[in-house]
Amino acid sequence: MRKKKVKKIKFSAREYLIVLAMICVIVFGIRLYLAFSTEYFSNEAYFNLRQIEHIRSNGLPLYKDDLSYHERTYFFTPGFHYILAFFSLFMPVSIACKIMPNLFATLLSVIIFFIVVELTKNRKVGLIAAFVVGFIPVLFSKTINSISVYTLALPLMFLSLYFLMLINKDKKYSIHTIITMIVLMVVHPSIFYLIIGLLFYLMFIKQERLAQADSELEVFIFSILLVIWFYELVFKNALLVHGSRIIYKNIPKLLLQNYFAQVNILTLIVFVGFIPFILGLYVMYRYTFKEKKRALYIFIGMGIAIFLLLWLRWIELNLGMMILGVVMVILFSQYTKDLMVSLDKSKVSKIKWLLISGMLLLVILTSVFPSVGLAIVENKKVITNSDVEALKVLKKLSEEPSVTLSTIEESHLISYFANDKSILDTNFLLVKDVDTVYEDIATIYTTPFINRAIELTEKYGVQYIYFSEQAKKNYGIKELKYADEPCVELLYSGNVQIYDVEKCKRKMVIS
Amino acid sequence: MKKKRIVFTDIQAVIVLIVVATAVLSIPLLSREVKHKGYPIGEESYFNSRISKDLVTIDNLIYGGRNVILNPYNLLLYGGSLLFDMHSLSKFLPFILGLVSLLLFYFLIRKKLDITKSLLTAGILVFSPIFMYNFLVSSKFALLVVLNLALLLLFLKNRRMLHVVGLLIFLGICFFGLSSIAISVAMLLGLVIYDKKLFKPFLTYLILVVVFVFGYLVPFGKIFFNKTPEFAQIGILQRMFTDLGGIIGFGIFAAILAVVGFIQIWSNNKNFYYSLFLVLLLCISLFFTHEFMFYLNFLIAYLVAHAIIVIIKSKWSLDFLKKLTLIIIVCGLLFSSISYSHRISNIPSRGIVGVMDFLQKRDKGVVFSSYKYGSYIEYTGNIAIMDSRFDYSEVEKRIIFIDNVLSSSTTEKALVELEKYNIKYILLDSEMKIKAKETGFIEVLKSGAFNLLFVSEDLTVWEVVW
Repeated sequence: MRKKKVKKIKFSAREYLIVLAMICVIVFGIRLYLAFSTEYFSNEAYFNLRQIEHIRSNGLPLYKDDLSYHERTYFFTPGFHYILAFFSLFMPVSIACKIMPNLFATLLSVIIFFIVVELTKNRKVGLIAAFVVGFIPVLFSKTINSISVYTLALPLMFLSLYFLMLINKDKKYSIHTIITMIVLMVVHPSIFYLIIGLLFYLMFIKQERLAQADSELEVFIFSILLVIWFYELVFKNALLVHGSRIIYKNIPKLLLQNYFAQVNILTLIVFVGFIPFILGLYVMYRYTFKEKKRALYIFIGMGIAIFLLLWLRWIELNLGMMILGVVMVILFSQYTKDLMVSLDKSKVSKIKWLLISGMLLLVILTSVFPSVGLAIVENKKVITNSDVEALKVLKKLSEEPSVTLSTIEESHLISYFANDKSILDTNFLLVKDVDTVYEDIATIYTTPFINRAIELTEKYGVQYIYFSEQAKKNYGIKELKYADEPCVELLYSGNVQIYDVEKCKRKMVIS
Repeated sequence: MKKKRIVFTDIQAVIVLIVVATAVLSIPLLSREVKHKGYPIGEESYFNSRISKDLVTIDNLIYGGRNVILNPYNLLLYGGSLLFDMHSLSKFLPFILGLVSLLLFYFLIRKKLDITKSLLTAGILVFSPIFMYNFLVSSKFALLVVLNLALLLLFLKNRRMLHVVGLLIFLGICFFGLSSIAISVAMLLGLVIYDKKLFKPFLTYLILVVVFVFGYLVPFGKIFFNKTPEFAQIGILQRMFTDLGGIIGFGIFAAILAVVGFIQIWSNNKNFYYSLFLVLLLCISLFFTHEFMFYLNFLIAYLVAHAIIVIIKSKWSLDFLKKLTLIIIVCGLLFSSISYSHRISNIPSRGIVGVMDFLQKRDKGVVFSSYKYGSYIEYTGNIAIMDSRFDYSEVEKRIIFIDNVLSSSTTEKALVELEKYNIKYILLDSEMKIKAKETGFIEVLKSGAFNLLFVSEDLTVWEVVW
């Protein structure tokens, strides 16, 4: 009997793009749903929100902040804030800050699709990669409601890598690469990690004795010099004060562990995604020691660079995992392509798509659900209406901005909602004696002695103490131990307590 | 039509270098004339001018006194002060030595390089932070560098008469100490490796070294090593790079280009192995002392120039990118230079200048302050508890004393501490005031036992009322 030939269904390029668009809609839709499930943003987002609003009203970022206790200068590249300020011309600022970062993050799926198609020459694999990259747990959960600059930095980073891949085909992509890198440079300093990744890539090429493309090297040399010069200009004063320790952003030693935490495999598996991480590692091994594929080395180089930086704790944990997650998805797509090819040649070719679907199901279970779950957990940390109510009460207490003690995480909320000064926020550069300041904040919250608390509140000119659930969690306390003192006035009580300590200072002066 | 190439002659190159160096070195000096009452730049200038004025060998303006080993630079300053006032001499002598060193360096490298490369190397040298420091601050290195360059030029001539002059110069270098001898010998050895004919004259120098070290330095106890205490140390990266806060260091851009130049030469040219080895050795030595930076700077300038010429001569697939890269390089080097020039022209700050002016007019006594202000306090004729040379006794004890005073929360406690060193004045900066605020010492100062005498920017001077 003759075997029945299986008719292969061929899709057109347009149809693939439609499927890609559908994937983007799904990712974007879920992101927006989670974003709009709360009215507010995460605590750290309010720094960016203030910057965007300031750009809208004054045309310039808020570099010198009167609401910071030290009235110091902030050091950052404002590209992201300008872009969001531009979009806020067409819609309310808060809506723009909900929609646009999530849109940027979704566009990463498009970029990864094209990267993977270029790498594997297989659009189906591209679609799988586009879907998986949309649900990297750490990237998904940390960027829904945080007006995170990473939502734009990561797409730009991988867009640069995409253009770099195409340089060998057509030199015109050199210009595309440079322009994308320049935009990334103005958005976020993570361009340094891109350059380190490229350095590893060039080392790989040399090691494997592959022909070095002149234009790649030229783009690399130009970009490294440009980036160093640009950041020397922007961070000049911070570099003079902090030197090489600027990598650690002058973060207090007690907090450093939170930002530059020691990474372990379990953390990576959970936050990067089990399947992409494991299979990405396998592809790294295979194409480093067993086979050669030039185009993959860009991403293998990037992956090794990030691993090294995470191990040395020279990159923030979350950012490192985000970049690594995307790299692993790209490498995982190479595995998928290889799997398809080997399945095609094997006896189980007929059930190839069943196996691929099984793998996808595993990805959904180990990446998609954790992403959504973690995002819901992050959303619970977002400020609530009652917290905002308390902050508005704080605002009404005085016409002029006064100093309010809060946890570092809530300092931007104090500035944004209550228009008050905070002692220390999450921007630590140029803060003198930051360890002492951080310890003093902890002491004011935890000391049982009113005299010690007043001594420190006087030192910083604190008038109000904002005592929230965050403070209870941070310092393991249920209440302020001196709250019962007659001079400590409770001005507001709800989810949050607001205390006025001004009378205590006057009492100490008199006594 | 052929492109017309601009060709310099040596004389034109020299004129260009003199004009550029004059401009680069003049700007900070002029800035100080306008903003800082013409006070010299750099802490060392004040120590050297004070010691050289009367050829002081026992310095009594540091509490407990210390021995001072004079060097030829002190003698030169002393000699110059017979004709000019020390204040002006401290500014103009390094400036003149800078121009001389630049010309000597130019003629030295002209022996091996063409005019363009020599001009570029010397030009990069002029804009380097270390060159600016060395020839704006009145320190022994200004003279040492000139002597070493002259020595190398004379040594290369390989004529008996000039060798004798060279030996005399080398003898002068020997009086600067062991590390200066070591670096001079290493540089001469480098020349010998390239030209074996110089071996015999080199032996003469070696003999001189041995005689000098064992005949003078060792028996007269002239060998000593100063170690900067831990509290005064800054990170190695911060020390080496001016862009990261170092005062004597390299620009980051220059360092990157120097590495490119180094790799290029290493892979292509075996003849330069010794020089490259010397560069590596000097880099390693930076972990221990900054003295070698002044010499390393010349090699770095050469490596940077080499890297730039390699980039210019190389064929890029994207020509516009090459031009942009060169523009970035020039901007990067210039930025480091301008930024450093601005920084160094503010050392010491207006606040310190104001305090010096004030203290000079007051009765003399012991001044309590941080080691950072020691040299300036001594310059006013007052006695400092500590200064940044750390070549006096009981350094740790003095640190504890300063800490105890700043931690005094009562007047009685403060006075008991201050009496140990017979303190007459207290000079506080913003950092010390922060600590004083925490401990309550700032409140103690407001009591009747202290008078606030003077405020200059972030510095305050108090008098102890005994």
